Amino acid sequence: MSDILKVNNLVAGYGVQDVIFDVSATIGPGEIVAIIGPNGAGKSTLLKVIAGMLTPRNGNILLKGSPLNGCHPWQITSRGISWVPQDDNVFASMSVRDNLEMGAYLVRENTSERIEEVCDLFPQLKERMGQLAGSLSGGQRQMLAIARGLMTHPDLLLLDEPTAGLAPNLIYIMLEQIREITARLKSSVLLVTQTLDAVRLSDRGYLMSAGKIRYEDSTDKFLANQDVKELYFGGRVSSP
Amino acid sequence: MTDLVDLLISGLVYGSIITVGAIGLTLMSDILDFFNFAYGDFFTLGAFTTLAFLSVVPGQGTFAGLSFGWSMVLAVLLAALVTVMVMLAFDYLFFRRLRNMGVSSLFMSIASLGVSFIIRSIIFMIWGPKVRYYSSEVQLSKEFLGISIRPDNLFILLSSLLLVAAVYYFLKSSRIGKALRSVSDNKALAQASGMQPSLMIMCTWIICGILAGVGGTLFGIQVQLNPNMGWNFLIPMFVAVIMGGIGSFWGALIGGMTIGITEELVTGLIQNLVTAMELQINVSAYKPAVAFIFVIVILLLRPYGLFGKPQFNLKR
Repeated sequence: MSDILKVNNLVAGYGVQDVIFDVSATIGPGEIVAIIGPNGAGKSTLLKVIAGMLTPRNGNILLKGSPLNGCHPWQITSRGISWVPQDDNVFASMSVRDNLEMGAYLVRENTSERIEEVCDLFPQLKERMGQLAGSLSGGQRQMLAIARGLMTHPDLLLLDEPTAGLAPNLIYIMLEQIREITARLKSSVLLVTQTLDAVRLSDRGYLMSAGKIRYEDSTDKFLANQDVKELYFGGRVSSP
Repeated sequence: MTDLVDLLISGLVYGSIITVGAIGLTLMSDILDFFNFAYGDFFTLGAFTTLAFLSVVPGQGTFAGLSFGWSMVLAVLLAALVTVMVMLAFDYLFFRRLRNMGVSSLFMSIASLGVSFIIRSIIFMIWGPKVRYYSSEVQLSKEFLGISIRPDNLFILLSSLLLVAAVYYFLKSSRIGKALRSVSDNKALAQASGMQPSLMIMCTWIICGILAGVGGTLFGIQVQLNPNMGWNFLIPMFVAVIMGGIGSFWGALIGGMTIGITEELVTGLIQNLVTAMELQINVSAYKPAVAFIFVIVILLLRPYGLFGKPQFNLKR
């Protein structure tokens, strides 16, 4: 099975400072891949580079075998990658419906059907179509952000900390929904997270620290790995 | 009482023109990310281009009590088109290059100051410093719904209202309008949603060009045409934008109307007082002072304006 996304030896950063060094990763079709690591590890930067928001200094990114280097964010979106940032991930001054319509900006046709479709996944949004996104609660806002990202039916959804700031009961619901979406839309997901539950939801995991990939494996092995336990969870991981 | 109503109407008319300009300026400041000091001169360009077209398009004479004929409608449409094309040309030759170089907002604003001098000089070269009018007709006020108003002023008020409503409807309901609002709200997310920055910038110039072309002409109907008219008009437009909050449509509307009405009322009432005291002072010359006082008070109390976003805190 060929990879949806392949990242080879990526180097990127801000100003003169490199933040990620020689990062390589792959994501298969329909796969959920988690990237975990401490703050400042370069996880969000990696997503930004893939989404085209940051230009890599070295390395290349291949989407279904074709290179993305040099593409603008809107071109990357049109080619099937959707990025949901951690902060400022909705158009706060616009209604929920307008947010979803803007998510489908490149698609143009069947917008209403797609809105219905994402509302099936996130029924809470259906009741709040006319409400300003800025007035939604944290969980609803996160749902809207993911729903907006799904409007193009992306091949790959990049989720930056989708459970950050959510109440523990909402985290589980959100992760279930992500799992359901992946299965229904056959999209792959690259998930940046610091939540153990999110890692358990994934098919594979990458451990990142200080801008480098330190470890990679299937979820079971990943969570059982002593280095991961020591490096990230402080040895407190129970079996999934 | 009659004086007060007259001043209020005069303020509404003046405020409606400021509003047209302020909406263009606020869109430009928000989406293009710089204060365009040339915007007032694009107003002047619109006003003078209308003057040029008025002599060649059909429909001369007067109509429905106005001091001009149907030719004005055709002339203003052509002037708006020319203003848009000149704006796009300046963007292509000048601002686009600066954007691509990654120049900061401050330097873009300073560059726009240069553009304003260029446009004004060209207007001086073509039309000279002489004051001009669209019409030499002397117009008397007429009664409309019990209110005495000059037909030209009613035309300005209704045209501004129509234009503002059209822009609002466009931004609220059209696909491109919503895309522009999303860029104004969150540039990074808009790009990630598929908005092409160059297309959004072009749309902004087009809307602002139409507003400058029509707004300049409406201003030209109310006052006499001179090459400095737009430059002087920049102050109340900027004050309206700052007062309403950069990027806010409603802010520009409320800011524009407030500045217009307050300037007219304050200067008019003080003039009445001064005249009653038999002093020979022309208070209307101090009209811009009212706008400046507004700016100072707003910057002190609410630096990001009435409806603005905190990131546009001008104190920082």
